[in-house]
Amino acid sequence: MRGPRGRARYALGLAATAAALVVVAAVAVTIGPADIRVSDVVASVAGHLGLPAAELSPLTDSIVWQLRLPRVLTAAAVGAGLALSGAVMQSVTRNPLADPYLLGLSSGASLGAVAVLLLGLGVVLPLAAFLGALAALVASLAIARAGGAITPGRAVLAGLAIAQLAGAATSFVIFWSAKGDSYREILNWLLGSLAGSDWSTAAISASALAVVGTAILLAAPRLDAFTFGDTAAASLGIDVSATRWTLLTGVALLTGAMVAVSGAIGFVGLVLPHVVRSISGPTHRRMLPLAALAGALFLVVADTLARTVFDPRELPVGIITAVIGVPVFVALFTRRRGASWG
Amino acid sequence: MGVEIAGVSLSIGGAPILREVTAAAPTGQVTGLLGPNGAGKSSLLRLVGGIAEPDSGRILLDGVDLAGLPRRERARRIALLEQNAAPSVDLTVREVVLLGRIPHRRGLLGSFSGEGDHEAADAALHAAGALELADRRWHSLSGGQQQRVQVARALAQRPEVLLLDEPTNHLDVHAQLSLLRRVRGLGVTSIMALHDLSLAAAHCDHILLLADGCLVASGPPAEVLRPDTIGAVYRVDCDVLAHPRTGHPVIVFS
Repeated sequence: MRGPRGRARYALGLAATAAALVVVAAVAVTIGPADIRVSDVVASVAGHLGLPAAELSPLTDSIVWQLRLPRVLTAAAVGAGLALSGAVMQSVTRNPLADPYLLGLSSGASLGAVAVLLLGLGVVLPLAAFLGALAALVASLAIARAGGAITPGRAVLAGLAIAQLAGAATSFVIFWSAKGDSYREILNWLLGSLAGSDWSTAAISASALAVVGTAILLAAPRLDAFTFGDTAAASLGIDVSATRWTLLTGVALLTGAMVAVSGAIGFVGLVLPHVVRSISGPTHRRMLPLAALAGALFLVVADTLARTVFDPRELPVGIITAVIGVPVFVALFTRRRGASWG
Repeated sequence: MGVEIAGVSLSIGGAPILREVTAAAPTGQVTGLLGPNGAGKSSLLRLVGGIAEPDSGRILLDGVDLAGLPRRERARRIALLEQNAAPSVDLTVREVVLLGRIPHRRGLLGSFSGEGDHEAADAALHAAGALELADRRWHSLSGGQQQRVQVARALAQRPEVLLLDEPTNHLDVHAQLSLLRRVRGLGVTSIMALHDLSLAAAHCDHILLLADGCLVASGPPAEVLRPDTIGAVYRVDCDVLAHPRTGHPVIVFS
């Protein structure tokens, strides 16, 4: 499956996924209560980019450009970011169950974001989410390290505890300070929602993805070196501890930015890397770009379902990602019995 | 020249692991590292591999202090095979072996697609006797096959020094013998921690015997592996016979 033919097939798969993402994103913009066609989407985007475009009614244009397009772009960037974060977490901790959600990063980020929003602390929202994520990461690994080396199992247990604590604290902060619709707020932060998307959320998530995502792609060979563990990585000339902490901090930054705009969306970071790995193979230079594209595609679809299935009521998108993600995860798990999952 | 270990001491968490060890592993030869559990064999290999640094003393590679070498440079010269290594994901054998090329890649975006890498991987697979396994998946291999692939991964680093930590663990007799013969046939300076004294006697040019963090004896197998020395270090009663066909020392316990 490797060699020139494998490379060609991989390049084809990558191109196909990218094309699918563009098409699905355009179609996703057309879906909703107002009747919009793909040609309207093209016209609106072209018009705003200063390209020659067909005339469009101001209402249609503003639905596309102000409401639906930023939301779809935010979903794509968040999906890509979560899938990359999960892939890096799984490699660096050598734990197939690792993802931002599991190691407490998302919950910490939610707590940071909610604290800023509702308590009115004077910190920028993404920064607060990043600090929350970083605090959760440090706390998880500190607990995992207490009384011995950081093993995958200990890291997961510690992350679970931190995630629960941060989740409870988030709910409490909302309960304490919000009024009226606070339960919907709680759900949105804990299960994730893209309902609040606008151009600023698209900009935050896309720029975090561009900066951290590029750094992660550049680190792909170092991630490969971790495949056989820390000692093997060190014997391949990798500075194990510096590399691990740099990457985990990058993941905290990325997760923080994503949670700041969408709350804690689960299963994207856990499941997507496994699905992609079974197609691209585990070599990170091939796996990471495909994981980012697949994550984007997945979350655009999931968010479109979230806002349409029970129209006009909107589901938290985390419910959709769980409903799709869990069966896929179980299928992978049973198919790969006897392999590396012990 | 080879590897020189000069007055190396190490303690972990206050407990002394190695005390003033001074020894040498000659170029192109196989040096066996023997000693009871906890004698410091793995720790010494990690120091020679540059994975950890000694508290005091120096390790010289062809006269150059290891502490002064950049990580990647070191990784191009020394390869370490640890005990019971397993990948966290299911890789093909070729992917495993290509990992050994990581220290040789240049630039920010090191790439697997360089033709030199694939040639080096094939050469390493051939030398390790694992070329026919190249397209198999790691998790489908037997213990002996996995160990051969690990040797190939180490050889793909094109090392001057090969360090092996109990490479025959969990292998059947045939796999043990074929692995040790292959390592010796490579002609690469090798240091190998082993438990089986007779295997070491038959497959090593040189023996270092450790006990409680100290070097107790060193020299050719026939000089080091004597009943009184073994008896004192391992606290066993034994005899050393000559192999009826090869003449190598064979250690029997009573």
